[in-house]
Amino acid sequence: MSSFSLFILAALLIAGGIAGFFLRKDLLTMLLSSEVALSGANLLLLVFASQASPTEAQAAVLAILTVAAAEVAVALAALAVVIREKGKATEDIVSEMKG
Amino acid sequence: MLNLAFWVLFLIILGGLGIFLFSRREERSVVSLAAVFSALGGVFALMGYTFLGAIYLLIYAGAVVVAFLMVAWLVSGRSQGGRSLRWAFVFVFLSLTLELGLILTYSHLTFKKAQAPALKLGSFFLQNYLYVFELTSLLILTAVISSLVLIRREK
Amino acid sequence: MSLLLSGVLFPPALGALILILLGRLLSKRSVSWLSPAAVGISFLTSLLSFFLIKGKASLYLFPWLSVGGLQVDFSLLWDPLSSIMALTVSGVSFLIHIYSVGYMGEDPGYRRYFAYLNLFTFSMLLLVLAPNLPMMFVGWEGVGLCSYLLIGFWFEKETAANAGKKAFIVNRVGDFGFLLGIFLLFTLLGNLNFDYINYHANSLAPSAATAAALLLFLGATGKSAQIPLYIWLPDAMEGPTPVSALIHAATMVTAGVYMVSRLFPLYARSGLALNVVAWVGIITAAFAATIALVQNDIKRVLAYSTISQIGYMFAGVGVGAVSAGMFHLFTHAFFKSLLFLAAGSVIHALGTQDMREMGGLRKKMPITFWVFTIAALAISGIPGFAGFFSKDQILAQAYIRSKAIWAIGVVTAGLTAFYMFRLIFMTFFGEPRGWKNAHESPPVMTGPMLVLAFFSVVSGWFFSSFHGWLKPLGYIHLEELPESKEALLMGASVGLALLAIGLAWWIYLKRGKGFHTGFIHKLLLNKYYVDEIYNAAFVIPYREGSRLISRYFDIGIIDGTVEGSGRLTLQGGRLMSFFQSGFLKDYALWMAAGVVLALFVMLGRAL
Repeated sequence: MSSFSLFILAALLIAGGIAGFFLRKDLLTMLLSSEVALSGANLLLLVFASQASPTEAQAAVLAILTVAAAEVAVALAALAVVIREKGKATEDIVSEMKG
Repeated sequence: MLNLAFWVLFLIILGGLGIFLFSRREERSVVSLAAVFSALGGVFALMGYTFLGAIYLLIYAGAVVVAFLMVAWLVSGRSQGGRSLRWAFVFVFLSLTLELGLILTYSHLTFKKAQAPALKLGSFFLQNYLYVFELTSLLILTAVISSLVLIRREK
Repeated sequence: MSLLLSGVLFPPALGALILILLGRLLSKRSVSWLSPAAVGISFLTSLLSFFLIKGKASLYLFPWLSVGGLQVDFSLLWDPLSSIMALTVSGVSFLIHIYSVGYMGEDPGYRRYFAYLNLFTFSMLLLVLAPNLPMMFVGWEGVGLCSYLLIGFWFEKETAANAGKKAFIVNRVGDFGFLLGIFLLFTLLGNLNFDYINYHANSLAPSAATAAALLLFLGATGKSAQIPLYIWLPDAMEGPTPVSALIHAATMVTAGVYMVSRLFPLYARSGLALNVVAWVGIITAAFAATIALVQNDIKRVLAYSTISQIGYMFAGVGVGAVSAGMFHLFTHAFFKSLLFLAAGSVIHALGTQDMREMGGLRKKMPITFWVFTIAALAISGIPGFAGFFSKDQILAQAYIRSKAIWAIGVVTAGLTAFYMFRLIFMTFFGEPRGWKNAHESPPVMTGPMLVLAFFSVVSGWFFSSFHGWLKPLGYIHLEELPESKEALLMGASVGLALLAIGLAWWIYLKRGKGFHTGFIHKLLLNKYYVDEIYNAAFVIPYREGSRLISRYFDIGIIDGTVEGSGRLTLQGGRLMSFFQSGFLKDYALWMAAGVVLALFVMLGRAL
């Protein structure tokens, strides 16, 4: 388990997340994709930080985790509302955000 | 031996990602991600972040994914997983068992010494970032309230 | 002992506070008790302090301003000068409060009126008891504000509202000078306490002292209605008559004289400033007296008379006789407020202020008639009455310093007697002109008038003890005049006054109609066209200039800038809205593109 292989893993996770976001059409999995990408970023952060300041890195990841959990709660609630209003939740349904 | 464990986890993540990306069923995608997250928790543990690994397992594989699963069922209108979902559950169950075994077996000989034990982490938060910590709890509270408000039906 | 001083200053403030905050809850009856009582307490405590405090006392309350080198304390100063002023102010104010209970009885704004009147008394006492210039300035502005509020008390009447604005704006010009004077003194001395300024006045360069003294005097001409800023006072008669008596005759308008007396050493340091004070005073006295000769509005005659008498006070202080000037201030407070109150009694009975519609009131309103006559005798300088003693002192002192000032003063005294008795003959004698039934005012109004009538006679008898009382100030000084000469001067002014009274009797009673000598009469009736000149010189250019600025600068540049920035934002938003397609994946795409771009940048840096 070298740093290099950890990089590869992180890159895979991020790429997978982004790819998922663009490939899938339902909002639920798009949301999950973003969580995957975020996990990849967390991993990257830990890899880089384990040399210099592991405690801070861990704390940062923990904080990100909390924020992500809160975000998921709100996002899922919003999703549920969309489903209730429109009957389904695919990304083409929600296109009223045009500026 | 540790390398082996790492590569096993690597493969689990790769497989889970594949299923997640290419499966047509939402439930299946969600469940496969449970495997991905728990494997990632294992990787963290191997790196020495054992506490973080455990938290990842709990929060992501436990709470977040389950929440998603419930919404997925809400979308598909079914309350139970179908037949096609069964092998996905088996996959997840197996990988979870594997991981637990790995962690229990090798927790005392990770690559490095445990990077930051929970005790150190806790005092770090409460001493250096107390306000951030408290703000985070405020954020969670806000999230809870706002999701309740969002989901409430107007009568 | 000095704690008594807070009892002098604060009761009216408390009364005003209660009336402003809780006025609606109080019955009219309790207002009629509360407000005069507040001032009454203040008067009683100042009387107590007058007898109990020997010499000087000061009450330190708290540090008020402490900025850099400037240290201003909120404290109260009781010395011979401020004690006289405080007594006069609280005493006259108390009597006028009582009178107002009767005069304003029917007015719907009863509570508001008394709140303002109490606030005024507080501000005036603050001005008087201030130990330093900044605190005096606070009182100075406070009385200006109350004056504005009370002139415009009947603000639904347009002339009243305009008169209030006029008074306020003209006073701003004076206060501007006053403020500059304070700043200059601070840069020169670094301390604004009166004691300090007076003590170090002689260390100032004469030119610096002249500049500071004249700037402060500009403030005094505004507040005390002297040339060139006197124009607001005649219009101020739009306010209720007791207000004219209290603010625009007895107390506030004499603040300028008080201020010059306070800082007399500063003025004495610069001979020029003292000369300016004396000449402005005496010219104003004569100028206003000539205008008063032909006015038909009873209150306007009294207003010009006030301007004229204050001119006398300034002349007295200006020739170096501070005690004479202050003594005239003291006696004038009684007889002039009495004149106003008696005029108010007439107005209250008839409902008009035009003397051409009065006449023959002697029989119907005997008390008013008699007190008015006493006050008129006092202001005309008839021996035995208060005004005689104070005016005589000023003239005698002026004679020593400058014969010209004395000559103008004597002529003005004759004019004063003439217009005062013209007023009496037109109002109280002859046949009724255009009124049906008049009645004497109620006791609540005649009572204060009788008290004031008493003081209009006796207050003049104590000049030597008054002088002795002020002596400890250190700069009180009178020139001696040979007895025979003094009698001669006295005879001249009294003779002229008697002659003027006779002339008025002959013109307005015997002949029964006034002179209408064409050009001069018209000039006087139109007040030398000063209002018109000021209008053309200041008001119209200012208004037209503002109009030009509003048309070109405001609309073109200010509005253009504001609207331009709005338009810029709108256009920018329209441009940026290209990215806001409303589709989730487009947003994600732009974010990913941003990440890619950032990566390229970082790679470029690294390589």
